[in-house]
Amino acid sequence: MTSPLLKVKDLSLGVKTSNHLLQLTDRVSFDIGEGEMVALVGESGCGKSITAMAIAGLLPDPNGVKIEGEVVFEGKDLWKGNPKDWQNLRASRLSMIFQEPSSALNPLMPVSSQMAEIFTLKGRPVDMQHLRRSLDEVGIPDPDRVLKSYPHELSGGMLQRVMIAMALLLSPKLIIADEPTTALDVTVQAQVMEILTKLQKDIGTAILLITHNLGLVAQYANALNVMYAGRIVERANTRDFLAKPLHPYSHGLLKALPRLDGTPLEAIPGSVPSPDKFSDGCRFAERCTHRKEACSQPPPWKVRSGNEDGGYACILEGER
Amino acid sequence: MRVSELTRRRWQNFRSLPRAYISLILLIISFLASLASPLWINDKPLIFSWKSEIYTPIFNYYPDEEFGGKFKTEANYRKLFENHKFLENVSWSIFPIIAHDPLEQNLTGEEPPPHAPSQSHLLGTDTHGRDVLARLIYGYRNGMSFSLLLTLITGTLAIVIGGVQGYLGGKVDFLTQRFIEVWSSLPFLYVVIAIGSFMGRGFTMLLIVMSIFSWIGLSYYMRGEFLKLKNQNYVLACRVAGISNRRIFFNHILPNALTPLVTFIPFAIIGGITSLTALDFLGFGLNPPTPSWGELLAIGLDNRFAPWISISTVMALFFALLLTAFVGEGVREAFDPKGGKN
Amino acid sequence: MILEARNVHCHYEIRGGLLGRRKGAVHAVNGVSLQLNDGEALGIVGESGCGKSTLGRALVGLEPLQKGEVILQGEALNINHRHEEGKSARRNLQMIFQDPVTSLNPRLTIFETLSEPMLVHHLCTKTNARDRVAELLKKVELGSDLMDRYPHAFSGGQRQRISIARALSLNPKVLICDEVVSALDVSVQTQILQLLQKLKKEEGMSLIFISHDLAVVRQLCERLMVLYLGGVVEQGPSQEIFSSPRHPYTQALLDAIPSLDPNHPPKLLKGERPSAEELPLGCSFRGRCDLADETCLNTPNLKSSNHGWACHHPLTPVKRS
Repeated sequence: MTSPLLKVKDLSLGVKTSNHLLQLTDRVSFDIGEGEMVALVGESGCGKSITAMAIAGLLPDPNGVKIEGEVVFEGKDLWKGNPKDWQNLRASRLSMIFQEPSSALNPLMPVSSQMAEIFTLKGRPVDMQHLRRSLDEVGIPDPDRVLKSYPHELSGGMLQRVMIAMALLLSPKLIIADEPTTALDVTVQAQVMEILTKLQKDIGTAILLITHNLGLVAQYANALNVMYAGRIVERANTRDFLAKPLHPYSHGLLKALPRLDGTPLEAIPGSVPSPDKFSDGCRFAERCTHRKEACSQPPPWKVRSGNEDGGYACILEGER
Repeated sequence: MRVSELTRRRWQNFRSLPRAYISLILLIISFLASLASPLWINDKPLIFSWKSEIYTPIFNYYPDEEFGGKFKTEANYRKLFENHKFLENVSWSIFPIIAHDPLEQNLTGEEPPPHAPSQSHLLGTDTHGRDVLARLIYGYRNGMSFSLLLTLITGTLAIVIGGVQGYLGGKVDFLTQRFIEVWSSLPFLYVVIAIGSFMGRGFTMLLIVMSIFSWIGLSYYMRGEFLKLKNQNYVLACRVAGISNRRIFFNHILPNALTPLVTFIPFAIIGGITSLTALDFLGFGLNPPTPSWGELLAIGLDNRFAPWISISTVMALFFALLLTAFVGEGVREAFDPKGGKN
Repeated sequence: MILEARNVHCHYEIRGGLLGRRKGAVHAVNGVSLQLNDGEALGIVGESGCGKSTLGRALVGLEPLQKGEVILQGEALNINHRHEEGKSARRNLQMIFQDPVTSLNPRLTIFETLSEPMLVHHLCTKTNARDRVAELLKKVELGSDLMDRYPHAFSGGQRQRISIARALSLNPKVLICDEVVSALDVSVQTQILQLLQKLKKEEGMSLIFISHDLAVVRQLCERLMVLYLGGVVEQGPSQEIFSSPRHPYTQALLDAIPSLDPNHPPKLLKGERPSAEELPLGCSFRGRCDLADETCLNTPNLKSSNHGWACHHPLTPVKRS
């Protein structure tokens, strides 16, 4: 089997506060193969965003964050290498799209300058034709008008498309998309996701999709990793997951999702623990209806039958 | 006084910056000491016993006749305490630490003033023979008091005017803004000089005149805060709940709007001290012979062969402003939502 | 009928240039009428720019109405007057907002925030205020020991509960919820929806629920109103609308939602929403609709029946087997 494009192994991120180290993620591991769309699913506070930042090398204050584990991209461990390596990788091999398109773009520069910057930073000549073509590929009907515009003159959906175009300018192998459609209307979301998947097929880019929306995962992702309170609690490919979710939290999430057919909702009681209250044992135990004594111990990782790549972190077995 | 948790947290953040905390303490102590300066800087003794009677010249008025003199005016204690006959009857006396009055001219001595620093005049005297240290401390008292009062008045004016503008918006805001634009284009210095020349230049007069100009900048800031805050959801919720405009203004918006104002205060104080010093230096500030740093600077500039005058004043100014700036830094740190220096 | 809005128009003027001349107007709400029955939950859905939030704010008097009126329990609400403290008609209509962070005054304790409306309207005295606040907290499933804490100590979901408690403190007949769960996580969202359902049943509250999330609205609301560019395109019983939408926009909205069934991918709606400054002639959906033709140059009227739509070419009803 070919080695994966991105291999995250036992990534544990901690932030230093005044009295102690706050462990935000605990041994997060997952792989992304070439051209795949893998989702990192979870609610706020689960650590998915900071994991994404760690992979992109965009942690706010590298000295304030303690990093353990590996992030291996195309065979190279990024955290052990030279920080300059990150710089070289970004935009050309590894790219990122953010949630709020309006704040991700500089309000004082027209779109063309911001897109051109990507070329100049890499020491390449600016190719206006290339810019036009990339805007065309993301479904923007009038590229010249958009190139001349300032960010505040464009709608949210348009801006997100511009961001995607910028991310794809140098044909990266991996795009990290952090909640790319959360701030958008549902019809615009459909358009943007369509563009992402089309480009994924055309260029062969892999996508790490960070989201809390299981519907998006079901429709677009090949595989997913469910995060809860800093840990990955389940991993599976999408089909297997939808057919049979194995972790109680996954179950709970699916039951709590409001459905169009009006199936009554079932809430998960309680709330997500805050990082300073993370326990060593199963962190979902206090909200779990199947809680047992043994759950105060760190949960074992059980492999999913029929697919070695999948698995879940729970002492319970199989069917529920 | 109930202190909200938010305020307590901000105080903790402030204290996490040692130089801010220490500066604040030093400033408070020095200011309070300067307010009490008649007690420890004076040419009159604090208390003494003469012919078995206790006299407290600082608090009571004793005429010259009391001590065997011919006049009904206040006794000249300095002369008295140099007189043998007087001293014979003195059993004990306590003098203030700095035994000089800032207005007292010491024209004794072989050479004409300014005198270099000596044992009796720690920082020397100025061109009129007045003790520099005494004038420095009294000048600090005057300058700091002026600045604090100025900050208080301009702050209040800015909150009221800016707040009303921001909260009511519409025509009120528009008209007030036009007025402010005209008002702020008046040349401040000329107006101060003009008013000073026909109304006199007392402490109060100067305070009033400077106040009516200095509030403008801060009011812009307050107006912005109020404009922003009146659209916060909790304010909208109050409106929907039928709470009156007045209650919303005072109980909800004002406390939250004051928060950024507090970060301004130390720098407003610095501005006040600097403005007054500048005016005094030019001669348009407080009337002579009121002790002030600006006046000392002017004298020092004219008498560079007597460097103790300018050096001591500049050092005093430097430290006062430095300490206040540290406090300002601490306040900014305190209000930083990301918390203190951890 | 507990609340009625008749032909509400809200628009914002755009001023520019040196003298602040009127350059144009944003037509946020164009002639919307709605009826809310006692004990009912009405959902108002649409995407950004459809005017649903503006409409909600106009109903409670936070937004001026250029035309139209709002009638609560038969009494017309004089919205353009500045509110007076204690006016009783106002307090029967309360609102809860989207952002849990700015919904509570950070300098006041929960007790102070919750007791203020009651004290102002003389619904309780200083002596029994604490008891009343404890009752309110219990209604929203929060412990009364939280009364003396400050908002920053609470999570988003808890803050929304507190905002709901504040709205309930005046015993309103109608509660308007403006995207109240949109800023919350899925699991917390569900809890708040269940709370609202409970309050509807137990307190007999009528709700207007504004949201962009159709699935959420499905859970809570018996009736539904779909807005597009400031106008109502479809309204009726939510079950009927979901199973058999008649307006092409409603269908497009439903189709765009990514479902959990990979065999039903979302369908794309072509084009972009036109600007609210220059509304297109005739049907505002004309530019994006596959069924559009010349008749659509005439503005369609909303059929006023139990299930009404504003379309010249409504979709065929889906027969339920």
